Amino acid sequence: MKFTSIFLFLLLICSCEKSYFSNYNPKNAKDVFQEKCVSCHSYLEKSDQYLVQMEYVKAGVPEKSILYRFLKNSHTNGPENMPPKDSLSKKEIEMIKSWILNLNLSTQSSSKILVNANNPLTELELFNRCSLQLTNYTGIESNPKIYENLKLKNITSTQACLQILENSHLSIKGMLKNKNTFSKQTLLTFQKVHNNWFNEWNFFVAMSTWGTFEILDPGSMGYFFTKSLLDKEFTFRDIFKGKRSFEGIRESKVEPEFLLYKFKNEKRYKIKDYRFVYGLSENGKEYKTWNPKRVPTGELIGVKAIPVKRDVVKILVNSKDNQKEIKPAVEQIVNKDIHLGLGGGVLGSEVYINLNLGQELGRSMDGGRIQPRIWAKSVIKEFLCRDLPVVPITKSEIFVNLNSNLPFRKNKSCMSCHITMDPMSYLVRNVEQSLSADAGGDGMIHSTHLKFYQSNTSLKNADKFPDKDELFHLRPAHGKFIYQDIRGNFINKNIKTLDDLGSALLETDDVYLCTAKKYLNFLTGINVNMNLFIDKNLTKQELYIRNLLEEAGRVLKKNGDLTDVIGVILNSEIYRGKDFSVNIQ
Amino acid sequence: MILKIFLILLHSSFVISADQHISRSKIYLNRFQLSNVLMKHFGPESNKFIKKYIMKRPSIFYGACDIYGQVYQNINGQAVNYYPLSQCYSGLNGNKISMNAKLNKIRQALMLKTCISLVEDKSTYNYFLKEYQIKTLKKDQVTKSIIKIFYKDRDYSMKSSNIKDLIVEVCISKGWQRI
Ligand code: HEC
Ligand code: HEC
Repeated sequence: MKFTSIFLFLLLICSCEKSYFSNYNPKNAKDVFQEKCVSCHSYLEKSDQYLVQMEYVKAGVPEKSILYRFLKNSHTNGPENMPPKDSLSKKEIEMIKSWILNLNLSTQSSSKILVNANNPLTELELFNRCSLQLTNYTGIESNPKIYENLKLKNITSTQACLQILENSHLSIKGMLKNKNTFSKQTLLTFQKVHNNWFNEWNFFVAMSTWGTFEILDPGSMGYFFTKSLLDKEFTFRDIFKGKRSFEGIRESKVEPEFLLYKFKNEKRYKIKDYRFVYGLSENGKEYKTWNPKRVPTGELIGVKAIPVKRDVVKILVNSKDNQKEIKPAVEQIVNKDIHLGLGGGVLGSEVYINLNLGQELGRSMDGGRIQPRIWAKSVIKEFLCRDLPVVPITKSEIFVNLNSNLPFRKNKSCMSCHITMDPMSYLVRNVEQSLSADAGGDGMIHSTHLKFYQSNTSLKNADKFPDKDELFHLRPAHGKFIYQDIRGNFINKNIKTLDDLGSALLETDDVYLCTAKKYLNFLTGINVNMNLFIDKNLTKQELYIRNLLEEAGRVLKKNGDLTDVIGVILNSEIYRGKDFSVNIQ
Repeated sequence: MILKIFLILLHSSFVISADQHISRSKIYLNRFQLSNVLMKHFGPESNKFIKKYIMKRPSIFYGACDIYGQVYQNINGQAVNYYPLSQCYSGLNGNKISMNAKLNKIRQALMLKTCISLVEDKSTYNYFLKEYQIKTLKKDQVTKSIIKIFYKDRDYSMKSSNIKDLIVEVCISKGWQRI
């Protein structure tokens, strides 16, 4: 009895309109937006500066402000249809009006160079352009309503394009809020774009375990960015935090019957003929089987965090059966959640390290020659867009150790690369490449995973840069971030966790400029070399593009919202040019 | 000699003003975008040509495949993908193909095949004529409106005179395939 009433009460709370319980009592325009608009327009939570810059409002002139002209009963001869299924009181309209009247901001353009688009497209053409890029369909198909508003000059093309993005936002559960052909396409397009930012993807080449594709999605890194772009609760900073990984939410009208990896000239393998195995088959005994969830297949309709402990493998092995003579495989009890990373979000995610470890199966790190350097190099390349070396020889010199037996420690030019990679890779020292079973094939799927050694806190870091340390992989995974950023700041920081490494990357400007440059490439086909931000001798075109990226980077650093980067680019003169070029005035 | 110096000067001044840190590649419609635009003009029946000449050639028309978008069913002993838009035709590495398409000669050749097929096939050709009411137009309007279908309000000039040739000529032209 007691339970049912509690249950009913809970049910009541959940199912009622939120305004029923919350006492909505707006004090200003922002309160009104919060209550009546942001569920459909997340941009209304942004700063006044942003709203002015993107031309939603014209400071001081309500009747010329797009936002105001859309309000029901604003009496502006505008569309006057917002909010669609709700009403606004006189008081609420007044609040919005007085907010606009009192805005005291000018739209100063932050780029110092005056340019205009070369051969500019019309507003409708621009909407077509971005609509094709985001949804694969022309604007009139993807969103006839917005197209109509644009035709009537009620909104700008940038606003129209951003509305496409808004329409693909994800709910708290990670699903598309409005599931339709176009929102699904936008989600998929960005997942593909983000996926393309990462080089390594092939589990088969890395460890010849084709079956890994059945349980780990090599597009995992892309999902961090896709989620951040389309889920306003998941900021850019969140990409570099925590141990969770994400996967696509997918739906399919039919059940899959075949595995995804296909060998040339062979038929596809049937799912029912295969089982996932782990451990060793000793004395003619069968392999043990386990049942990890397959990567979801079908149409992409969302992005969600993979539940903790959903897929746990009991045992990993450190060698292959065809390596028996050289290195007999040993079972190691791990009980490992195959999706839980080491921290630092995408940086320490299982899939990213797995694909970028660059060390042999079953080989533990020794702090000298054997290091997961490829991982460190990839982090520098893929998140900061920098190529090694980034530390100049004048600074790498102080790290040279003439007593070392390792050739690169004795040489400042070697150290200009190694001083960045090596201590950074110490952060993943506890990792070892492993397999679920020492063999696969013939109805058995074995897969590639990482073994994490539990670090032994009683062990200290014996030597800062050991030549070879047998216990290295068991010591606490402390490292350093030694880096010269794009502004020329020399960074030399002790780092204790991958979350700290994530924070350190986020303190540089490099990570924001790198991200902005990648979106610029997708949206305009322009490819920028990071030296653009260093070199003092630039052409005017280059200077213009640099200023544009600086602005995009600045808003990303400030607000942590990838949408802003896209907004800055869409709103730029270069995006308006037929050939994505500008005339310098 | 003087000419030579002049050329060197010209050349060096060009080098100085050239962009060192940016490079551009023009973006063309990738296979997904191209397919949607053509389907709009020529109707659902055009899919058979589009699939054959465009969708199955990601290395020519670009646009990454979606590994996990593929769902293979067993149909009479054959593995058939229920979601062909996702299909990785040339293996899983198709998931890394750029979304921004570039122009190439093979693309131009395949576009020619596609466009000819679309006007030679009765149903796709008639769809086009009906969709844009070409038959109701006055003779001197036809060229203009066919151009408009592909180019909207942009200029483009054509040489052909009969309708089929006109359509093919516009259809294979590069301008409307630009993003
Ligand atoms: C139920 C969802 C919903 C709510 C709530 C809503 N809108 Fe909208 N709004 C839309 C849609 C959909 C469009 C685009 C189509 C159209 O014009 O009708 C739009 C368009 C707009 C536009 C044109 C620019 C753009 O972003 O596309 C403005 C400005 C706008 N709304 C303002 C508001 C304001 C202010 C409120 C709150 C008072 C509000 N809306 C509440 C759904 C909503
Ligand atoms: C341009 C940057 C760069 C410079 C300069 C550089 N290295 Fe490296 N080094 C790397 C990278 C990246 C790796 C990891 C890739 C690999 O292991 O193949 C690496 C790995 C190594 C390894 C480990 C190979 C193994 O067995 O895993 C050694 C040894 C090495 N470098 C020696 C040197 C020496 C000696 C010099 C100076 C003569 C030098 N490096 C200069 C980038 C550099």
